[in-house]
Amino acid sequence: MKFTQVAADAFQKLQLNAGVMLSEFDPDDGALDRSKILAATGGGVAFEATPNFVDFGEDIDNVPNNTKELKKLDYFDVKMSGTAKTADTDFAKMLVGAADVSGTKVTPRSTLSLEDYSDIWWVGDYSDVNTGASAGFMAIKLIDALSTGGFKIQSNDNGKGDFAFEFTGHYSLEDIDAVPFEIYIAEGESPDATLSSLAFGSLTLSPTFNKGVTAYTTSTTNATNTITATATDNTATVVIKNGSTTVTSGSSATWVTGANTVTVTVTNGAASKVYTVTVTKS
Amino acid sequence: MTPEAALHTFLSGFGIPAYAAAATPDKGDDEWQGFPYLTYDLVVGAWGQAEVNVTVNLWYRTDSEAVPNAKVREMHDAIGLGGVTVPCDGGMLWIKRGSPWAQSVLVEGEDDKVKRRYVNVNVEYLTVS
Repeated sequence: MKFTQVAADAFQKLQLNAGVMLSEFDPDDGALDRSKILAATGGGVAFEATPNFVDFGEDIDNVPNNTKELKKLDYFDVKMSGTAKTADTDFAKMLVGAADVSGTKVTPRSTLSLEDYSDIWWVGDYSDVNTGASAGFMAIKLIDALSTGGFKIQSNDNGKGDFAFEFTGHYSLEDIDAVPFEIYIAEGESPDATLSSLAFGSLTLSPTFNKGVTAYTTSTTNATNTITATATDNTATVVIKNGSTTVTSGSSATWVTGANTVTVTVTNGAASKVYTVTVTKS
Repeated sequence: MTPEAALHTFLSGFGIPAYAAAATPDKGDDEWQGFPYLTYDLVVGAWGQAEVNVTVNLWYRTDSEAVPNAKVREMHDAIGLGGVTVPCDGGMLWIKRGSPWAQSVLVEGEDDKVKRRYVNVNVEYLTVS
């Protein structure tokens, strides 16, 4: 059917799994520090940022509601909620909100302190490249979060306890226009398994080397030539074989009369690419 | 690579031969490579459908219970907590641990050295063509 379709890249834009709640996360490097996980969750995490509007057209005669020139964004109500399955004193303090921790004791306070607010991240898997250093992620930073759901525990007979939570992001007088959440979406990048250069001594490759082209030919009257292959990513491994003989990059390969097949395999994580050069010796 | 081939390639990546259950060679056939091996029931899904259960059976001939258990653990770790995605034509397969993950099954009619492990693997076909 004409309009029952899915975008061809839909599978690359999926958020997968429940993700993690973190006290710290750097979206520039996307690294996960497991020591920053606040708690294990059950059933995932819900986040909502609800805009609250003032409609100045509401009480003006002959002006309909929802007239765009008369609508003002007042603020966002920003909440992160769910159910934690684990808790320690630090997380219990977060759930209480206004509280202090001393050893094994969490003591609630009747007054709030600015130290009771802290940023909370939720980070989930995203896209088809979802492992390794360049894995995709979707991240939400809840800024100056404070528990507004309080401390709750529901124990379960023959089961694990549940700690329902709700955190609310807060504006600050220091920058009253800064909305208390940010969203980051990073597609994963497949590891680079290309060569940046490939040379057979002074021989001329046909076509001219291009890292996107994997098949080449050349000819020689020499008994040997030096093969040099350099990966674009210096963490990738490069294996050169002349027929079944392994050749170290920068070393000589020995030719037999006629066609010699050289393969250069570049491997970087789960990605690999094979370049083939046919060397004809006359 | 077709989704079916991608699944076969994934299941072939554990160091023992993998056969679709309907294409398992008989002992004595040229294709028969002996123990250990695994068989799986190929179940194919599509975009928008629920994940499907692919049962995998590991077959070992050994006195050791630890040997097949170690292979089950290897598969468990390879799939990981959140599953693993495998590229294929039109998208990817999302392969996850099923529940229960694995169980030992008594093999009748064979010699008592034959060990069988029944493993549940769930596959979500995120393929858009």
